[in-house]
Amino acid sequence: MALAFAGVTKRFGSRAAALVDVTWSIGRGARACLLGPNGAGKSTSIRLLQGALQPSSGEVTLLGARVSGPDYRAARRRTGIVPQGPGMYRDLTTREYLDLARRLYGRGSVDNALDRFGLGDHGAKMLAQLSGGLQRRVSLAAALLAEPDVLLLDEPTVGLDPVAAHDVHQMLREIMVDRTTLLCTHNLAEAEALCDEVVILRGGRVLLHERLTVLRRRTSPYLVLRARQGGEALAAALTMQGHEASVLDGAVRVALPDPQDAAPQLLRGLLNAGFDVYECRPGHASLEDLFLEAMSAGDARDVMA
Amino acid sequence: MNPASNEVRSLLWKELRQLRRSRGALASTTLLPIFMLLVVPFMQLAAFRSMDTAQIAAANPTNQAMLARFERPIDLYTTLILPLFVALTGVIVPAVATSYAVVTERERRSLDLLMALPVAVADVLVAKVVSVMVVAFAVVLPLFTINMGVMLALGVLEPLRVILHLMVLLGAFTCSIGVNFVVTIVARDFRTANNLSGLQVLPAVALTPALLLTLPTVLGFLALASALAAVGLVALFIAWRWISFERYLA
Repeated sequence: MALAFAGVTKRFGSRAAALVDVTWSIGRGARACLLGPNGAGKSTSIRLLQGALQPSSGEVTLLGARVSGPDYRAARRRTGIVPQGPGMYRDLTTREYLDLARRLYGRGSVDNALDRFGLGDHGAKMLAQLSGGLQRRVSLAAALLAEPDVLLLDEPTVGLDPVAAHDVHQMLREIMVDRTTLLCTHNLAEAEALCDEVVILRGGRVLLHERLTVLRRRTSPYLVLRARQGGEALAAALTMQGHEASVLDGAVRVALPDPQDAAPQLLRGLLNAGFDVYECRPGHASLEDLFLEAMSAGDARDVMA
Repeated sequence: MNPASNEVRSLLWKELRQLRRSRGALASTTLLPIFMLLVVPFMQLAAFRSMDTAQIAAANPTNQAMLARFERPIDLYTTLILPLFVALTGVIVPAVATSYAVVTERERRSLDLLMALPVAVADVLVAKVVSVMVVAFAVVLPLFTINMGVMLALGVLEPLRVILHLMVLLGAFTCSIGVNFVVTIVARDFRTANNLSGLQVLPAVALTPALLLTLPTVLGFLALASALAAVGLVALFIAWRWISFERYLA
């Protein structure tokens, strides 16, 4: 396993536990996202993995090394971390910070990192003088400088404007290939685009841990239709034909076992019935749908408890 | 944890670069010892050389018994006034650098950026202790050497007293670094740290007269140096046992 939590509880003084008997792990090469509402325990999990916090009980391992054990330092040198919106040094240049990273990792090239992340013109600037997007690039450059096996990304695009966030996404797509990655985020679209495994935390407990493909198989695929006559009329016609149809933002969703196969015949029927259908596309449950569903299930469980 | 490890050396390199660029910290750590080791002691020396014992006794009617051991005013100067300034300099100069090195890292949240790299809290703190010591030595020792050189040249001090003053200075450094580590880690921001740092002159102010005026001269100096060092080492021990990234980040 690349990262593992075994029965981990983390308490901060007399406050409620941030993590409660949490057990989950991800294998080498996996690209997992850690999701959950505020206070779910995401950042605590990342800080436990980076050795900044020690578990109150249980065991956290990184690349097989216990976080408090003697092998952890070596495992840590094989791990790149992008922190969540850190403060930037006013008295350390980009090149100096990357050089510090190179010294601490014991390998890597500062010049290559500057080139790879488009920071060549900013090497002599103080970190605090850089724009938010460039600062995030510096964090990525430092994390990737030593070509780590594992990447821990804590809200890598939070606080960035859409252009800078897009820029960071492009970089993440490239650097996450063949690397074990744990992406901690609130951005579900980001998680869906970049990850193939999801861990959902809530109230310091694991609510769900599954591969996205498996989650999607559990939900019915559907066909999305729009017609000039409006969603309500279209849904009524489809219901009359024996389909299960629902209206969302003017579009009709029809649950079908195989939307691509069923679409032509269904579409012909609607056109023959006089509907001016101008959109017809297959769809599947988004991560947002799955996340909200998991949260609702969690609510139901809480009520039952 | 190895103080000479690659991690500590790398972090020390970073700390020294940052301290070198901090004009405020450098100005404070340079101007203050110039004032306390050169300007004031030499002015005081001139004043004490022009006084007689009767004037001092008249100025301190409540301390007659304590002052009776000093045959000449200059003896009071070399036994109490000069070592007090040396102890205060040794306490105050590292305090400024410690506050800068420890508190600003947390206050500006650059500690999160540092923590993203493969370092442990012990590495970070050792590098900060060493960097503060380097700055304190680099700034204070040349000024101390000038002071002691002039005192030797004027015949005010003999070589043994110079060594004893050096021991007091080293003890004060240790006291300052230890106490300031506790203070700066407890303090939530730079202003609070500076306010609390003011309290740490108390050991020097309290111990210097208490030990130098009550014990025989050499023993008094040795006791003062040891007591100051002990305060610092106890504080460092407390800091070491108490601090984790958790507390430092909190």
